[in-house]
Amino acid sequence: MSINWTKLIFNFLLIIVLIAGLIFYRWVFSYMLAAIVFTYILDPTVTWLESKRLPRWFAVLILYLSIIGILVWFTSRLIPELIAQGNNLLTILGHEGADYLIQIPFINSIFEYAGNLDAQIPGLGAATRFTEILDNAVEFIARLPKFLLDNYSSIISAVSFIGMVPLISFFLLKDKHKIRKSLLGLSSNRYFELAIILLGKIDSTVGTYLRAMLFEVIAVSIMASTALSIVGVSNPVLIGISAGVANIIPYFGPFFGGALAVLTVFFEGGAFLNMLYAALAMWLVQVIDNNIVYPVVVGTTINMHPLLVLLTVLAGGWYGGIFWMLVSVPLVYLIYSLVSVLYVNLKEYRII
Amino acid sequence: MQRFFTWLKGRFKSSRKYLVLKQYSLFADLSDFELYLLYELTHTRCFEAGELIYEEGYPLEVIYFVHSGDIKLKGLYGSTTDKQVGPGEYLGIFDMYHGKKRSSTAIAQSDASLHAISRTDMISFIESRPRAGVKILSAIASDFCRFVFEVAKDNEHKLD
Repeated sequence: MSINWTKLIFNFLLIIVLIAGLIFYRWVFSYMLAAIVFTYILDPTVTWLESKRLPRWFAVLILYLSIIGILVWFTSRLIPELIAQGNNLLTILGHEGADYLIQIPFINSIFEYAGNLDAQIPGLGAATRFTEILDNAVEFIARLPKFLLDNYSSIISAVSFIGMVPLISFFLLKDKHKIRKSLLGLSSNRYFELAIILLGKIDSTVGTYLRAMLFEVIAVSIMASTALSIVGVSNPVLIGISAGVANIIPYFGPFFGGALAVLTVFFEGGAFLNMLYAALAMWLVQVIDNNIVYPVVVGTTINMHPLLVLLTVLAGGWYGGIFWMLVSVPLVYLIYSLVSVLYVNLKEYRII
Repeated sequence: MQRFFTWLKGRFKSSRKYLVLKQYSLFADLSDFELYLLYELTHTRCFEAGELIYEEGYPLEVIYFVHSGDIKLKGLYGSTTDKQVGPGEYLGIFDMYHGKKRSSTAIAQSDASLHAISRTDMISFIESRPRAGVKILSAIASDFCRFVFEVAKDNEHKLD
């Protein structure tokens, strides 16, 4: 069998160019990834506007203007309130020293109990130890604003990230069909149908999951804010939004939202009954989310055993912290779906 | 200034490439806008003479429309004779409604250019634009009737 040297050299050079390209563009991968997420979320609306006879670029423009309008409204109406709530929350959580915390009735009763123990058991020093623990906790929380100041360069790059992502997404949305055609054009005739099946699977899995998650975040944020307002917890919008975002992380997220609500009441010196109300409100939100919102909106998109979900979230957390806890479940599901679709189709197309 | 406006007009004027789909009986009645939307979902594939397009028993995901060249279909609906498909004709529509597997093997007889549309995209297009969907489905029904009559006539000849 003769070797086609021209083809071999061409393929070799192509691989070198591809590797060089990957190295050169590696810095913008995160931008591209975020832009793709943004694109998947907005695409159905753009496609709908396009079906109403609007040119695609104009549809994207209108959608962007609408989003900017909503953001401006949100900024002017809700941001000052959110900042005030945030400051209030930080003041509550990060007051100067343990002296303030000891004034809280619940903590005060523990402190008094520790004092009584000290009186009965000489040399125990329980009250002093308790004050030290409170001081450490307060010191940790007080470090948060300093952390923000120390990492200003990261914050600036985050701002540039936020600015660039919609710009990249604009082109992805506008030229969606061209990009899709170009990608499929790369496949040979032998693998063309298989490539279409795989791209369709990625589209349906990723797109549906992302849109479903966004809907769930909004639904949980609104429900939690409303429930916390009703039971009289202060800063309900901020806690509601935090709970909504945290809810993306299966199992651990809902606990975070509930804990934040209860801790706010606790540090404000609220009665035990108020803490119970806050916990009940967040539990009710979770009941509605788990039994109505999640099964209807997200449940149909990911079909994984709860144990596997739990293990995946834990592994994600160990691997790369909160970010990986967020992305691990959809990523594992996507890879699992693609591998199973690939295997079935490779068999059916008699490639393997 | 005139040249600038001509250039600007050209920038906003669509290339009307989508009109190429008019040559297929299935899309002949679609409006320009419907053709434009459908064209966005279409891929152009080129096959060399003798190249396999698909084999009997393959899963059906793509419907092919022959733009140029000739295609040979082997074993169509269990037939022992080959059938030739030329420009303006299509491959895979009847299979789409029958088992979702290829019922024949298609090989390019000469260098051929085909328009390919994903079955999923086509169905979602029909569902999202019912008016266009009715036109496409009517054309399919019409072609199917013609096909049935041709088969009946062939059988009649064989019996004679």
